[in-house]
Amino acid sequence: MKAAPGPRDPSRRRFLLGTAGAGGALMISTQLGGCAGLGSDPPESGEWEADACLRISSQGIKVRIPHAEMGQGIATGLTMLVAEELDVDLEQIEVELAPAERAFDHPEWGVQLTGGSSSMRSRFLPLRYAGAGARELLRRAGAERFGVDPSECRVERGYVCWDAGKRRASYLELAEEASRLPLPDPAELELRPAGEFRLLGKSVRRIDIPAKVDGSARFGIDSAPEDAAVACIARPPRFGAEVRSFDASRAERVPGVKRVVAISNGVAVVADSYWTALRARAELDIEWESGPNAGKGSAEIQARYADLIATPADEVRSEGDTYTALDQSSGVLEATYSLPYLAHAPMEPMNASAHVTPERCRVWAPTQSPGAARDVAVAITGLDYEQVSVYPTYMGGGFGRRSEIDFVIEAVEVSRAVEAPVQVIWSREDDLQHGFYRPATRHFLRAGLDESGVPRAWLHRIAGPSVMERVMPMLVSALLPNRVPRWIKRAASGASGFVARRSTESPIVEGAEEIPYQIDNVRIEYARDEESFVPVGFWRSVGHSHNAFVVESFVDELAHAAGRDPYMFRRQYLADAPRHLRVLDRVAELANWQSPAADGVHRGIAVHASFGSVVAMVAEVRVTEEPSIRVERVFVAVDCGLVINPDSVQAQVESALAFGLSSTINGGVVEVEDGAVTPSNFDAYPILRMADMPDVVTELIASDSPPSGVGEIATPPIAPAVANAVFVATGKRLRSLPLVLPS
Amino acid sequence: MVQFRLNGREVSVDAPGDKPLLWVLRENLRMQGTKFGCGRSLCGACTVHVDGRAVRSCVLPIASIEGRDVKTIEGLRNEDGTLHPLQRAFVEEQVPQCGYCQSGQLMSAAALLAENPTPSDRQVIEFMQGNLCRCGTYLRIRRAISRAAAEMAGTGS
Ligand code: FES
Ligand code: FES
Repeated sequence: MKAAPGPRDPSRRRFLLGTAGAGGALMISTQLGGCAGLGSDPPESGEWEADACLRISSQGIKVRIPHAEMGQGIATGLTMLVAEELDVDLEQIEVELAPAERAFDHPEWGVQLTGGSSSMRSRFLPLRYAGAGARELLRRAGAERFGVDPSECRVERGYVCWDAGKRRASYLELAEEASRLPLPDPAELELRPAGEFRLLGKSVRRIDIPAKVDGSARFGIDSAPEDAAVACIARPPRFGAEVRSFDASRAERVPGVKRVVAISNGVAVVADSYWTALRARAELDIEWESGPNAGKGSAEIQARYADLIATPADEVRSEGDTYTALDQSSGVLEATYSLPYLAHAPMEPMNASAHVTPERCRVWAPTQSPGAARDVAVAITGLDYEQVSVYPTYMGGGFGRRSEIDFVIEAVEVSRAVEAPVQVIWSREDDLQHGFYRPATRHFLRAGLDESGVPRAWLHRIAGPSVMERVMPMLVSALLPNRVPRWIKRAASGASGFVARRSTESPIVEGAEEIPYQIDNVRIEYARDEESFVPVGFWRSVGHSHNAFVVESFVDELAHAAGRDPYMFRRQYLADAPRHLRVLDRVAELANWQSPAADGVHRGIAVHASFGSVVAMVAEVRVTEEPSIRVERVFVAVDCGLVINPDSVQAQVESALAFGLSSTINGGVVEVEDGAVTPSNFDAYPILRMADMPDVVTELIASDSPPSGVGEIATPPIAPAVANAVFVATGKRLRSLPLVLPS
Repeated sequence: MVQFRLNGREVSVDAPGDKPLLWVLRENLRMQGTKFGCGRSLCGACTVHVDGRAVRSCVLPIASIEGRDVKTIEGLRNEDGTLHPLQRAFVEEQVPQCGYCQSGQLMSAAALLAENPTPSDRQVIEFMQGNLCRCGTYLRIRRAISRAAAEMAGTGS
């Protein structure tokens, strides 16, 4: 049953609320208006209608979370939205992770995916309307029971109360009656006004934490069916290499090995245990084609980039006439920056479980992409969409790595080949050497200043591979020659905004394209590396992770060249960017910028907008004898719109800052040699440790704007804030990451 | 057959002697609270106690465990079933994010407090240095450890 969208508030036209009464339960779904193909699939279990996200019955209240819970606290945040509107306590709601279903598609992207720091922003209204719709139905059901007009009843903490008659009934008692009522017109639903929020804006304890302190939380690696075999896969020793032939006889003799099978990206050893499979994999005798990338490495890639940025490239944005203005400038500043490939290295190595039979395919996976996972499983098995289920699990970190579906493809292929339930587990070496890396890039910048040091022209040329170029063909043709996943089809037919929004170059140029400073002549160029062979992907904050470092370092160079204070210099050119100005001013106050720092401590400042939010940081840095860089304290001011759960936002700021700092000072770099990634474990790919974690002082700016991104926004500004402090400390401008001081 | 004590109970498992304790726990005994992160003693995710000391179970052959006393995250609770003060402190400070490293963090921290009930900041950092957290929960781990230490010393709230 679908109600027509209301005419009055245009934002409400985006939702169609649906209700269903099954087995005496009231169920609510929130779907997009105007998105084709949203028919509901048959329910997986008797309990839920396929597309429902909220279920109220005599047994209790349940919510299904359509996004990946990877530690960012989204399960809690989204449940808060429903609880706020429904007027119940968080503890009254039982929370589940939603399986892959069309109804859980990202409201803007048309595919069920967690990324782009968009979960809260995109579900903020739909889930509140779901709660408000249920609340209204329950109120009407209560009024009916009491035999009065609904206007005489109010709701409070899970009850419908008729004050005049001194009667009340709980939601659970009323659920069945409510499920038989027609859905209210969404245009008549009142959302709770911000001034009356009971939950939103309060620091609420995360619902997933208790299970994460006693070992009971189940991650992907803990979610295999009891009888599943374990597979380790020998993948190409070099990108692009393929199996020529293999001899499995030694591997097969290892006790506990069940089968050895070839799959699309290598050879899988299926055994009774990970330990067995891992050892048997080492006994495989595989002859690999040398492939097209033999002999190629990072040095050659950066050299190619250097050529690419030596001449004008494709225009991404142009204001004024930058080249002419540069020619006419009295002073010109030029710099080249370079950044390496980086791995995500989440603490839980990739894994997935699948059970494929002739009639059914089930997948349990720690995935940010249940939608694409289901599509790809349909494509591999040839089963109907309805015969394939994907159950997302908790995951030991995502950071973008788990938006890829390579590990799901492996599990489905292996299970299909051996006709049994199988769990594929990656070693850490597999994880670091077969990732989808943050692209390496190289940047050429040239700025023109007039006599008084005012920047008049800004040229930023970026060389790097295209992330989207890789993602699309991988799904469309390379792996699936005949069957194109339906989200790609939808994207291609223009029904999905996902690809349109993420245009081909945006993951590389975002954060550079939209520099906030008032400069009359701005030109951003992108030179795409067509010979890229290292698989690249979305890495926490994506293009912002390199562009913030480059832009905010180079602005700092301009400030120093003009003999100005870097904070005041930025301020002067941010008149058109009030949100930037606000966080910048606030962070300067927090850090006491105008007073001298403690002895031996040097400060750097940076401000950067990403995912709809703006973050400013001041890093306090000490450079020690060796020399090494110690970041002692970081002040952070954040404008992320309306804050839903302040403590969770603080935690994400600490987390994203640590993630960015790890690649700023700790030195994990994905070197490529002879077509393969060299570091293989945490000894060669160090990540931030406790001793290097600075104190973090965060202030969240109060805002009435709708919530914007949180999970990634503190990654971009930390590298430039630290690099700018190192310049003050040493007089050395370090233009590549990680920051290394010459000894 | 290898016999040892696990969280206070005698267990015996039939596994190759070189199979690491981590995988015996996870696969043979289906105790999955102990996590796999690197397999080379480089990350701390697999930390358990053997005879009271924090060890990396991913590199400990099961044969070496014969007759010894193993404690995992599942056995960290107090004897009366209530949470260990560290577990409570980790909830109070809202430490875990993805949570994957946290069993190892808690087991390391518990071993630290058992041997040094009032560690300095520096001692905490030194002891916990081998436990990686990609989510960057380090500040909160430190706060939670001092909260638990204070509580165990009877001076906390
Ligand atoms: S899994 Fe044992 S230390 Fe990493
Ligand atoms: S909480 Fe995610 S790795 Fe530590």
